[in-house]
Amino acid sequence: MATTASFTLNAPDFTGGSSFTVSTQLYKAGTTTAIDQFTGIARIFKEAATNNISLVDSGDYTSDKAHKLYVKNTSTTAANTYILMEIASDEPIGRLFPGDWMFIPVDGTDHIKASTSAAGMSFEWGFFHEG
Amino acid sequence: MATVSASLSLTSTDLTSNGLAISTSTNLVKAGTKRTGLDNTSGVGRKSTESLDQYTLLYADEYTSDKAHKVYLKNTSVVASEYFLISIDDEPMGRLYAGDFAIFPWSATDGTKEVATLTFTGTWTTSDSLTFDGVTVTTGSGVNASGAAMRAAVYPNWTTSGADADCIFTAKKSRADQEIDASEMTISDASGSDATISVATTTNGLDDASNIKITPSAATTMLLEYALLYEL
Repeated sequence: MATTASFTLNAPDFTGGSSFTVSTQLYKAGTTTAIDQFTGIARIFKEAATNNISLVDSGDYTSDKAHKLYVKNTSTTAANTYILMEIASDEPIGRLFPGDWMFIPVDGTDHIKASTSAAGMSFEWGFFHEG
Repeated sequence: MATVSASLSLTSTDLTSNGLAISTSTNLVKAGTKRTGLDNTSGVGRKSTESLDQYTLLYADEYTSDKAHKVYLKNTSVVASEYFLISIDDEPMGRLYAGDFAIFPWSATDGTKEVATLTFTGTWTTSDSLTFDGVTVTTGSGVNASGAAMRAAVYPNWTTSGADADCIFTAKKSRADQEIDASEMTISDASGSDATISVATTTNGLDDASNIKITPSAATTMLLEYALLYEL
């Protein structure tokens, strides 16, 4: 069983900004055994701006593992709208503007949550985990 | 105008019954814009460590908060058990094991810079001096001249302002561990003129709410690759 994640960044206008790609297999913590659990890709639509939508509840997962979270803001709302990603009790990670996505490791110690800044926003997310 | 595109693919032939193929791409643009690309970058850097000590990779107060900054991190290790714990301020986000990478937006939410006011009192002369933050300042004749001399000096960790006998110190970085008082100021009263000071904290410092901190899991050489794409 194997899941591959690849990231490509292309920044031709920056000096030395030729395209680069990194790839990795999603393994369980400290091993070369593939992660074998996945939530699937969920799509969330919120008619109103909504705070603290729980994506990862730390109580549901083992701590100190090599879980991975993918989130994409699929909204077509105005450019100044965003999804605020937070960890634990309101510690901001960052803002996903329309079209932005992120892929992060999650160790399962704290909650991960999302807040939509405006009405009519949507996002998709998936969690690769070890249980 | 800079054009920066980022693509992610997540694929598996056997994680789920019908396979998995997620592919997404976006242009990295400034907050609140549709087409204005991020135009600042740290470049792709690498940081090597040989201890378990946590360090701050990115200080939030060096960047504008609530923008569309993006952070790239990769653990270049090939030892499966080695990881970097990535924390936002003091909240652990996740462990980046050997070969793993992460891409995420960064709010760069500022903390609070410590502010303290030093006031010269008593009698000061040009043969006296005051040492603070590793800098020794020869004072002036009188409290106002001494305040001016203290404000004119350059300190590693503080900026200065104020007037007359006061020197207001403002920390260069937002930190919670930077409380200062008179005990950290050394008076050399060479003239024996009863040179005295008072120090009052006016603002208590707090760490940046979203400093990015890294904790290596091994005391052997570990190499983190990183880049920041940001806007002013």
